[in-house]
Amino acid sequence: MKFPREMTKTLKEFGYFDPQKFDDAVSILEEWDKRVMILAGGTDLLNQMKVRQVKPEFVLNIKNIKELEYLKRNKGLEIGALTTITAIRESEFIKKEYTSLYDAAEWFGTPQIRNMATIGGNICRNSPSSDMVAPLMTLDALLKLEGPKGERTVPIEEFMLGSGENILDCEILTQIIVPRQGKSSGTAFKKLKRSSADLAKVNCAVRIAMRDNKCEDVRIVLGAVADKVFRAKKTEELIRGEKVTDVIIEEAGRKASQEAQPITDVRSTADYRRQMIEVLVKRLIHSSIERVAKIHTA
Amino acid sequence: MMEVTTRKTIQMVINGQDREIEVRPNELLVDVLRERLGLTGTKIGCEAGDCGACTVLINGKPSLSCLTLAIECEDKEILTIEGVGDTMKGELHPLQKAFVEHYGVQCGFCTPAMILTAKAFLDKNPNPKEEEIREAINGVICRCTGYMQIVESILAAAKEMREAAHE
Amino acid sequence: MSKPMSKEELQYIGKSIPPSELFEKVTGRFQYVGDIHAELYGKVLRSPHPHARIKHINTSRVEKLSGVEAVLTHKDVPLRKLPRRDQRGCYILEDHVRFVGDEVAAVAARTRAIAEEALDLFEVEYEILPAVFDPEEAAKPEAPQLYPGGNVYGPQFGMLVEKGLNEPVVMEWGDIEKGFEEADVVIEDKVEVKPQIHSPIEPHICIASWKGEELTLWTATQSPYEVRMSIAHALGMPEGKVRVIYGAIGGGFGSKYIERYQPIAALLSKKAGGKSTKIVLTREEELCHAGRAGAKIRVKLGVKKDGTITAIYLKGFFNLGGYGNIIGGCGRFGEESPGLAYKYQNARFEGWDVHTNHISSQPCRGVALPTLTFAVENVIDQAAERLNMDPVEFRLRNLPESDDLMPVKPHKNPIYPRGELEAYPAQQILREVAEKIGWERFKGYQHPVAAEGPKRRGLGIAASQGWGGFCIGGFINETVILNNDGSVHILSGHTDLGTGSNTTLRQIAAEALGIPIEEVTLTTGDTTIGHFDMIGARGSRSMTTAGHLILVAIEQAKNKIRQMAAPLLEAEPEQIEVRGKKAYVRGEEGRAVLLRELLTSTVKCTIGGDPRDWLLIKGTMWPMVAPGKKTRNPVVAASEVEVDLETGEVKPIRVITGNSPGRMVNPTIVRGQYTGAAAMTLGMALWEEFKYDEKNSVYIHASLTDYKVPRALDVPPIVNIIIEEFVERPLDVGGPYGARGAGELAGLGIVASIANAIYNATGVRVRQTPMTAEKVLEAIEEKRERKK
Repeated sequence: MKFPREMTKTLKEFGYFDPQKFDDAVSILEEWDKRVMILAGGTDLLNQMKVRQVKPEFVLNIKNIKELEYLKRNKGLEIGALTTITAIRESEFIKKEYTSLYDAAEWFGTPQIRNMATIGGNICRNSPSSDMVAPLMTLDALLKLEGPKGERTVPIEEFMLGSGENILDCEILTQIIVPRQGKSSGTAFKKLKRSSADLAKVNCAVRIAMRDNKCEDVRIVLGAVADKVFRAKKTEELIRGEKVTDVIIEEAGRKASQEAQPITDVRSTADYRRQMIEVLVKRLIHSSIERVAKIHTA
Repeated sequence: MMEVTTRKTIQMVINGQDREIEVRPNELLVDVLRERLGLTGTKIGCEAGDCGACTVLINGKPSLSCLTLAIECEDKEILTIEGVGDTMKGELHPLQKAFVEHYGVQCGFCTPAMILTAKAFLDKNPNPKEEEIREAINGVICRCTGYMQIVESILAAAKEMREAAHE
Repeated sequence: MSKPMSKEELQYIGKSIPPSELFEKVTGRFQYVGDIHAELYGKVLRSPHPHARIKHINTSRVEKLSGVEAVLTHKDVPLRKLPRRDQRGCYILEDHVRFVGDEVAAVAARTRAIAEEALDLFEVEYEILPAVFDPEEAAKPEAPQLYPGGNVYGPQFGMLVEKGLNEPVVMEWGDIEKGFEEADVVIEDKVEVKPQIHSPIEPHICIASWKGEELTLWTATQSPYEVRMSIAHALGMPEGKVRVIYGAIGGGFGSKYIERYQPIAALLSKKAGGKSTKIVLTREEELCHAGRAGAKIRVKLGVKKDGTITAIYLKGFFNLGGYGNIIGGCGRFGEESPGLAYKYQNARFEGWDVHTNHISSQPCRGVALPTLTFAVENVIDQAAERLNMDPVEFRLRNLPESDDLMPVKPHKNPIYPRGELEAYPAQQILREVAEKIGWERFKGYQHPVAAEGPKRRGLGIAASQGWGGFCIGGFINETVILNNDGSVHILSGHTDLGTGSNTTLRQIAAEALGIPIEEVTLTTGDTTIGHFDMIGARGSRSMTTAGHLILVAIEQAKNKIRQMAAPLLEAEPEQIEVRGKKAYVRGEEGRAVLLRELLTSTVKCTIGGDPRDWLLIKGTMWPMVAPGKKTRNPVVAASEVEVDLETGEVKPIRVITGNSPGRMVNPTIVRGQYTGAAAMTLGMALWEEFKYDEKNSVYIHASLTDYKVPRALDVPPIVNIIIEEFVERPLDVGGPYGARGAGELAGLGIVASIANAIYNATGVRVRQTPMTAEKVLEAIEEKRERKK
């Protein structure tokens, strides 16, 4: 057994591809399938390779495929999978109209990590504490997956399978589609961490749409407290269609904390996480409603 | 059908100079800079992307060279600490001068990364507030200074750079 | 005798001259050990078990791997131990491993990749032994034994200690039983701190190479002469054949002295025919190698209604880990400072330094003082509250002042003499720090100074004392060489870690000789100069001790020149002054001779290494600066925190440090040291958490992702209150120009001030470090439960 975890820091040799065109990437994937891993930002993959968590025979660098890097407004939002977290953070209209996505990008890692990491990479990493997945899930984001067998678009909720697995089947995530949000929609995201640059102990994203002082629709997504990022659907049911009173918000907090299965690990304890789910959900419901009010008055 | 690459001669622009070097895919940028190009100013502190000591500017953006393959940098512009200021002429960049005058350096191990990060930041943000500076350098850990004199150095450099720009 | 000068006359003392190495550091040209190429790459195989015997080790597969050039096991190392200061001597490798990560074997190969691969090919059979992790448990006779004679190290200071003494280190005076009887209020409480890992950004590193029988070792170390001496002893070599090249260090903080990896690299290199062999620790190895001792401390404090502290009884168990340094344990108390922080009428400080199967204790910036201050201030604060006294008032009543004879009664151990504190403006510092943090906002305990939604703000203050004054000089050599042209060259035994001492020492010499600082050069960084610094850069003593000796040497050099010039100037030697590159009759600058014309060769004086100073080591390294006079460092810290009552998160808003550096030689360097020390101890207080998974025998905190060293957004603005107070003395007496040490001193009270601030904000005491959100919330909820 290697002390205390893998002590290696060098990379084993591997075959390397860096196509400029997307079709070439697809062909490579078709030929080598499970023997090849995709390199985007590299902040996760290279670390995993160094400690021998993964040992790919081939590495496919897709960063030269420029057509996968863009941020477009098209009724909703179309984000190329290679868009860096920095680009998302610096986008004025994301900050205004998809604020929770900005919130997640704001505290993501460090500036260097943000310059390198891509939104596609963060999603495909399948971490249960993925910062970008939580707000996207509240926005009902869709993921476009393309491969040799063709293309398909899946709701982000169906993408992660838990335990670090996803549904990619010889495919590349190329685009994230965020449907247009209603005018009376407010979003918020918060992650609790140990210090200023950290993975989440608990993260939470909320989107709420209001009409006539009642909740027309709501999404409550939790991260780092189950084996994948998930929607707290029972909690959502409590609020949907109701007047959002303090009592309802209290109940929602409690319900959300029951829907999760937090564990104790190096970052925090199961008990603390459970309590924090309550606190975060309550606070973010308030924040989201406040942001709805701001858009209205704007 | 693309052929697999097991070694490649790539072009990069390093500190303003065109360089050509043959690399294998599994070589990290930090190792190529330090071991093969003799540019030891870039440091290795953790090799996992946490400490930031390996920061270089790739196409102007602070990036972690310990998590970058050299081969990914084909046709890119790299700036290391050796390319800041003009030491052949004995001229220091205002940041380098400020770090000396305001003691933003103690052991010096994080200094190249700090200066490069600060340079990229000031190039985009010439009149920063203290909080913005701390945010920009949050990716480089310093164990020695407690950050006060680093922030003071960057503020002083920013002031000098603004005044020079107005002349 | 040379007279000290007033501020106006001083040319270099008090000037913020940038350290000379900074130009190289900002251009990336400063060469650290890692920047030097070596032929071979070494790696250490480490124990996966906390306690075990190596039954069998098979290296045949390692040796067969192409590219491997040397393999080392415990069977290959000399049978002499490696002597280490204040630490058990240890074999370079042994068949008894004492913590997860302990060195088992080593390999050197042509590339790093081959060395990594080779580690997997060792076949080791272990006999797993029962392990113990808690120092209090380990002190019991039935605990698993790590060493013959028991796990308790005891107050012994030799270099090759063989057996434990089942005794605590004790410092006491008066009669605490009586003291507690006289008290109106008695507070008893305990705290627990986890180890803090130094984690300099440059990991431990060395390169070893041999030319015949001579070893050269490049290494990042704070005590190069200790490295030389220890390796020479263990390898049975004359010291002159071990050359240590040092001086380029990427941070130390007490972690970089003599470790096993250095002689391991030397032996690997020897086996490979002398080829240069580099060993550098990965960050993971770095984070489970050594750290500030974890400790459990109980304090009982007795106070009278008027606020006088009648008695204190402190009993602490300090976790030395497998091989720990006892200075890294309770700090020996011989350093006195914990006992002199307040005027305790009666006192007993009892420290049990105990080995366990954890990472070794290694002194970490401030050593045991941040821990001890936390333990004591925890009850000081509670006593003030119980007496309904303002915390600042209560402390003012008990802080000693200049000229106070301390300790209050004579030490029971006659080795520690009493003395009057000199230039000790503790009360003034406390007042100014309190004012700076805005203590007028303090409305009493149970009243946060501000509240908004779930957030509460609180203020906390703490007082302490540290060393770093005038240190015994017997352990370091300094040579001053006056060149023909009147310029001066210094050969120094000290080590500059980035702390600026290379420059401050030159400032001191330039001042004393009245010459431009550009004409003062200094050589350090290579043991070939034949100097010695037994203690190394420890205890914030480099500049003061080396500086003191340099001034003594300069005075002696001047005396030699006075003798030479007397006949020429037709005056008595005592009438002659030597400054500005000339010798002249005092008061008659015309009657002068240029050194250039006077000297026929260099004038050289070496000072240091008097073995009579050894006697003091049993008591304290910080002797009297003059008969009956002690120099100690008063220390105060104050913090303002914001606590979120619902999440338990603690955010530091502002930190104020208060210190007296005596007279500052280089103000900017002093501020930098104070701020850095405060930030480091802030990390200990709030974010840095040592975590061991006992079930799987893994240190799960071992990466910078999980071991949270403070970043720029974590550390709030830190303001330093600096009161310069010193006694004017002849230059060759006491700290140079009245200077005191600075490196560790501002961090001592930070943990305590944060804990006290949290209490003010929330009404809960956190008695552990780090004070994470989880712990704070737990304490808040416990309080709520108790109220019901």
